[in-house]
Amino acid sequence: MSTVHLMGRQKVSLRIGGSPTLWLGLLGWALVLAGQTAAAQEPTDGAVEPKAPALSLPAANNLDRLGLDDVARAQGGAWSNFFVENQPNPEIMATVPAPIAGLASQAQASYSQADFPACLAQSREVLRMLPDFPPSLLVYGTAAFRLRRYGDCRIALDRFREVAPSEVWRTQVLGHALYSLGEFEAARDHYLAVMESAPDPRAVSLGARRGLALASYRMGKTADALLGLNGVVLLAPGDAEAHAWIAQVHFDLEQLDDALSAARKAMQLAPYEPRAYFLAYRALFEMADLAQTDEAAQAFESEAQRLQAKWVALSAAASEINTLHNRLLFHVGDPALLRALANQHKALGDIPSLIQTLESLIDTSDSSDPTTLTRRIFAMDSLRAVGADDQADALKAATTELFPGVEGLPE
Amino acid sequence: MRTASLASACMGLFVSTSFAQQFEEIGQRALPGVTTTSGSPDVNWILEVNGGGVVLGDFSGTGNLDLVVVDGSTPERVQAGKPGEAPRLMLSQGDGTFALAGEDWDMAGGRWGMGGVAGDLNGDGALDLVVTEWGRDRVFLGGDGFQEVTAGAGLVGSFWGSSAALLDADADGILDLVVVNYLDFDFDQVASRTSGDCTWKGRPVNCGPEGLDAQADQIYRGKGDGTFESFGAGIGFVPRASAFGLGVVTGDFDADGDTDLYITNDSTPNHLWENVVAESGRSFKEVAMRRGVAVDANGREQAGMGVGTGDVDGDGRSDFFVTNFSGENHCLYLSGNRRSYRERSHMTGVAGTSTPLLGWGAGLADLDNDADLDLFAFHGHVYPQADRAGTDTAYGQLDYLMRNTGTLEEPRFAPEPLSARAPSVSRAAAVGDLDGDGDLDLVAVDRGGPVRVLRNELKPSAGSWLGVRLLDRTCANSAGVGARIELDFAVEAGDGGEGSVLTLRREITVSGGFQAGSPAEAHFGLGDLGVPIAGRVYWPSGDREAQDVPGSLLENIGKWNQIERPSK
Repeated sequence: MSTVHLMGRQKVSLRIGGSPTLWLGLLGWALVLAGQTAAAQEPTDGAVEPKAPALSLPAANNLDRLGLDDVARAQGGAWSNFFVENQPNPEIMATVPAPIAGLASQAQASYSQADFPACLAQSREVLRMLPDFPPSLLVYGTAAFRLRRYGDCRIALDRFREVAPSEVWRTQVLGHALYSLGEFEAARDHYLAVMESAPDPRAVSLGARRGLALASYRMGKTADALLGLNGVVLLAPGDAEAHAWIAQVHFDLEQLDDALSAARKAMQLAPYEPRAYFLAYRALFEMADLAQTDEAAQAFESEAQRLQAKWVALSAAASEINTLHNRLLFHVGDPALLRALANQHKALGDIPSLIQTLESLIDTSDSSDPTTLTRRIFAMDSLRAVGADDQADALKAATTELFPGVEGLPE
Repeated sequence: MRTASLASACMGLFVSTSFAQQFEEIGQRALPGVTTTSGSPDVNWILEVNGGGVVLGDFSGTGNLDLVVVDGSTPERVQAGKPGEAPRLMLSQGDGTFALAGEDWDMAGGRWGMGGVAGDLNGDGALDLVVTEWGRDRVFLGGDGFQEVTAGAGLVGSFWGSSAALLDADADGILDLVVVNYLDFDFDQVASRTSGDCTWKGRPVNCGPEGLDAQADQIYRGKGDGTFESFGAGIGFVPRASAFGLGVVTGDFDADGDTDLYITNDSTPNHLWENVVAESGRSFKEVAMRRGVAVDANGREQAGMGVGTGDVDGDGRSDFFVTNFSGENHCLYLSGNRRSYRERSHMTGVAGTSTPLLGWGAGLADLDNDADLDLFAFHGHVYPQADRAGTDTAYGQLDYLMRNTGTLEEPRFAPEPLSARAPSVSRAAAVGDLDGDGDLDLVAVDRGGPVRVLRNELKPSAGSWLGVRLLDRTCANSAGVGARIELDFAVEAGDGGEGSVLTLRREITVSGGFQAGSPAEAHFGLGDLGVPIAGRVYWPSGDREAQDVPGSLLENIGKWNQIERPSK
């Protein structure tokens, strides 16, 4: 059963493209700013002198004012001493005026709540007050990527690369953005730079490794792609997406047996992801065409049709789910959207995704909010419908505690 | 037959041309003042998105390509009960410029014109015209002028027809009609942008196609007199689910001697209809999922808009080029073994540049006369809001030529802007030799804007060419729509070994993809291949026997030639 807990804060996975395995491990260090409210001090050598804090936060829903084009740059070398042995310099951090530090903390909180427009607005304001402040460039770039503003992501992380050249290894998300923009050669070069600049090979994430393989694949270098993807699954045998990509490359090379084998592995690891079913059924249809006997052809044909039907159903659901996720990017925490998303996952029987969605839906303990109880009842109903009784019981207990005397909760 | 190594060597010797501004925009003098209407600049409804259409063909019988501009309307005109802007015929002046045809060619406005296609519907040798509409599709018989015969033409219903195809589906020598329909639109039922009901990247935009009802495509059997009738239920042509149809091309995609259909659908899987003859009769079977041309390589449905077809990789089977939405990439589906296809957009260099673009009119043609097929695509976003911050795309976009710089076995495309024109909001486009100089020119429609003529400024030294038009007096399909023409060339071995034969193939088609009609002619760029050593025509009416191309014609390179079908 899932390890996701239903009563904590919403757990925001830093996933890319829905992949559970592409984690962006680049924010942790930047978030050290959280809670720092040191009073303004004289800047140390190399740090920019902060302007007098005069915060003018743009509304997060003003999507036209979230870009960095008109945000001033720092003077050359301003942040050259910010990183010491790949860690932020506490002395420089301490010079950050309290209001700016507080706003940077808010940006991190917004990110954690998947409120990326707010995160951009807050980070942008930090950068307006403290040009090219490296942690905020990183937070901004990552949030922009999550919001699918790849061009904005690129601007932020290009600036980060300039002001913190020793820290390029932290910017694999820029590779993802370049890839999403169709700039595969630039993406490949960036992934290589990320990997080569990592202070420790263990710091190179699977995301960067896989990104490099996929950029190579997009450039037609299938051998390099296969090598890279196989490297990923050696490190992470449960990486369903890497297995699916391996299937894709083999299928392109008309290596049908290998394609089918990798697709089956991906289907096993991620039974609700449609892509592997697509590759499997296509390989099977072609195997049916090649079969030596009618019986063999019929067997391939039959399984191909079964997997194709499965793919059609999963693909339709994935399309709906994707649409809801897109809307949630701009309607953060919208209960109607979250309920619709939960219903999609429930219909699929995808319990981990259902639980994650329900966690977002019930992410309030405000007993004075009349919707708090109804959201929880919906969550309990949903959990029981898919047989997640342990989670339903836990939620029921917590709800009874929050609403003493409440009766009629779903059994 | 050719060998791989010889062909590769041969392709490497083909003439290379600088493509800097190869196409010159001459619309200002070629079509002065000719513009189209498609609602308002705000694009509040999806009906206003797609723009008008273009149809190329020799309507006047002068041997030059004339141009029909299919025009749209505005919500205000519709709501006032006024007809849309009339389609109009622009007669070629022979030099790539056009003049409005006389009143004999006048056509009344329909409700809201979209696209069209031209062919000889009644076997009189003159080109006739079908216009698709948001409303009732229309039929005009040509000759000395246009005569509208919509009322008795047998077309059924009033839908949103986007594109149309003429083909001899049942191999009876008469052109049949396919109308590709988009979606069920009603101003009273569909929310406008101002409602705020629909958003894209967080901003209000016009609504659709998601959430609206797709309309089924239609197929009609031609009766040979300019009218049509139902094929009956036996013809099939009923997909598992209706889709938002936008583009269509025809061809013998399964290489079995009859004509098939490929239809691109917006936000829904594309359809490949194979024309199948069984004991129970002829029918169309939808096989796009199985063949691998319904969705992209990841199994995701795309926003299929424009489409072109041609044999890019020289394997004797047609390939497909499909334009899609921004954030997706244009798809090049290359034919493989066993009638299946694989999307090879990335490996061929098509994908990267096209990712931020939203494509419409598209095609495959030898635009540099070097004997391989190049790609072209016209672009422009559906949402003016694409110009706002953070979208990673733009409303006005550049149109692209993707020049084939690879080999026959491994085509590779190098994108570059088609012309020096600033980004614009392009829609339908058609390709043809407008000025008779042997290189292929382009004509395109801007959404709610001018009709553009892009004259190919290829230098005569770039490579030779040979043009073929067919004449068939034995049946109503007088231009041989659906015929396949093959030319053989002797290729010397680069290493002094035994030479080989290279075969170039073209099919006569008149459906030009998205809301466009193309001329019924075959253009062969020859590069350095020299004079063909043999040629064949496979006529479309069922018998698979080829007619040899006369030797005198084969030597007549650098000209448009006519091949007539012998009488039976």
